[in-house]
Amino acid sequence: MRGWCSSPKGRPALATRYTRSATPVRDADLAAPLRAAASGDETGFAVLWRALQPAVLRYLHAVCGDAAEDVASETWLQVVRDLPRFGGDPTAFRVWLFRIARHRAIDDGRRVWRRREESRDHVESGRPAPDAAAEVIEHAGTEWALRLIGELPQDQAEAVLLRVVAGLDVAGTAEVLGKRPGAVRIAAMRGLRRLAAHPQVSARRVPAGTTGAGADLPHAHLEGA
Amino acid sequence: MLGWWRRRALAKAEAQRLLERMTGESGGPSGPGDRGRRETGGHSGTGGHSGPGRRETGDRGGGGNGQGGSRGRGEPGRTGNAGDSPLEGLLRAAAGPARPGELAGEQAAVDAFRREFAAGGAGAPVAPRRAGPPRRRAAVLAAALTAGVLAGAGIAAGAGRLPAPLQSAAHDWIDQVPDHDPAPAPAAPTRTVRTVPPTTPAAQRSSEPAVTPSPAAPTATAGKDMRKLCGEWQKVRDDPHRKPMDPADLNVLTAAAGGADRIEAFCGLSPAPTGTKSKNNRSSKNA
Repeated sequence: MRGWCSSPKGRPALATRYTRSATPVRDADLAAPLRAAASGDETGFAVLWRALQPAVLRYLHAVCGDAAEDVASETWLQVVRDLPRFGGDPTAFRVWLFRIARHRAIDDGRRVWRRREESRDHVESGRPAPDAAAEVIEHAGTEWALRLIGELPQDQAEAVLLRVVAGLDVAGTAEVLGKRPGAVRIAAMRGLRRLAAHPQVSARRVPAGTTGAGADLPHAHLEGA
Repeated sequence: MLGWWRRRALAKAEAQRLLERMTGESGGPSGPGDRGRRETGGHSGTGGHSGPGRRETGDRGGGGNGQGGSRGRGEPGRTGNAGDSPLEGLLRAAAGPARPGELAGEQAAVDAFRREFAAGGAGAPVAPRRAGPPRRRAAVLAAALTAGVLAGAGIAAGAGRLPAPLQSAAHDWIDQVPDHDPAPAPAAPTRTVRTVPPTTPAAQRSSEPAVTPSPAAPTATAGKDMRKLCGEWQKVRDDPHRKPMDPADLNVLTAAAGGADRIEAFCGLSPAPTGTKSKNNRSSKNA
């Protein structure tokens, strides 16, 4: 499996499964940290960072591959610099953050959609060992899912990631991507459709049902979000 | 065949359902309460219309309403809609909790934050430094614009389509035009009579093309091909008895050549290769 920039060894251990992740954090919970961070409070900033960094990384990894971590650092640096003048609420902050991330990625010319066509063909012609079931059991579900999303065409992958992983709404996604909301809806829709039809996803019906692995998926965000 | 259609229909229905749900759930702005409502509402509400896909996965996933008794999962409260469908599982997984690697850089990030704010208190140093990336972007944009304008002007100038003053200025800046324009001219090897341009009104320069008698004249000549002007100029030069050139034309030509004494080179009339000539012209122009 192609490693994510955060390294494939980043398998969530059980203990860390329920650390706060990108999307589970409610915007309402971020309001106070955001205000605090804007006035220079480290703790506030750390909360923001912990809450959003995973999503930023996941998005950036789809956009700029292995440079994701670097670009994420640059993104946060710019966020820190401009934070004192940022007056929006947490929702706006999310949009702002991802817009910066996208711009940084583009600015740095690191937008390399790594041979998606190839890898997709590769997958669909039967990857060596996709073994969805095993992956799920090992809690690599996140990596697996992100990998499949990353194999979508660029606009679809971005739309899906921003909607699902970054937790933006259509308007926010449209703002980040510089597209019209209608285009975002269509892209997300197509992406999901393509994902649903993906052999690995359909193959997963069985393992998910028989092993009960569905419960092992990190799905906490829907309650939190 | 049928299987393909069915799969496709299922996928479509499922995507539709998920999207609907997502608009309620993962949309940032809506409040948590609202989202919760949407979630449950959407779940029961959309169950029907997604048809077979829903049914197929429903019995496996054990409904998905909270406690999901039959499965007895680790975190019953959270299982909510877990395992509802493979796609949904995938999306949940994609948005799953942070993996340790993803949070590895926290200390560095916080350090950077501290440095930024220590560098001069909130806001103060931010403004100048902030100019960094945007300025670079602006520079790139400006460069691109300039290049575009120049290219456009070059094309227009090459075609002789600019308004007279601009046309002459364009020739002043980019004396590439002679490179291809005087193609027919070289046919005349010429007994180069340098520095005997026909009526040379003392080094007319591009800056004063309006000197010419009627304002209509330059505009009229502007459309003319430089080549024609060169031909006229050559005739006048070669034939001392010939009537001098139209001053407007001469002006344009002079301006285009970058000086009266360069017309020859500009028109490719001198024996020296025109390409290098024009480049020399350019650098020594207005000297």
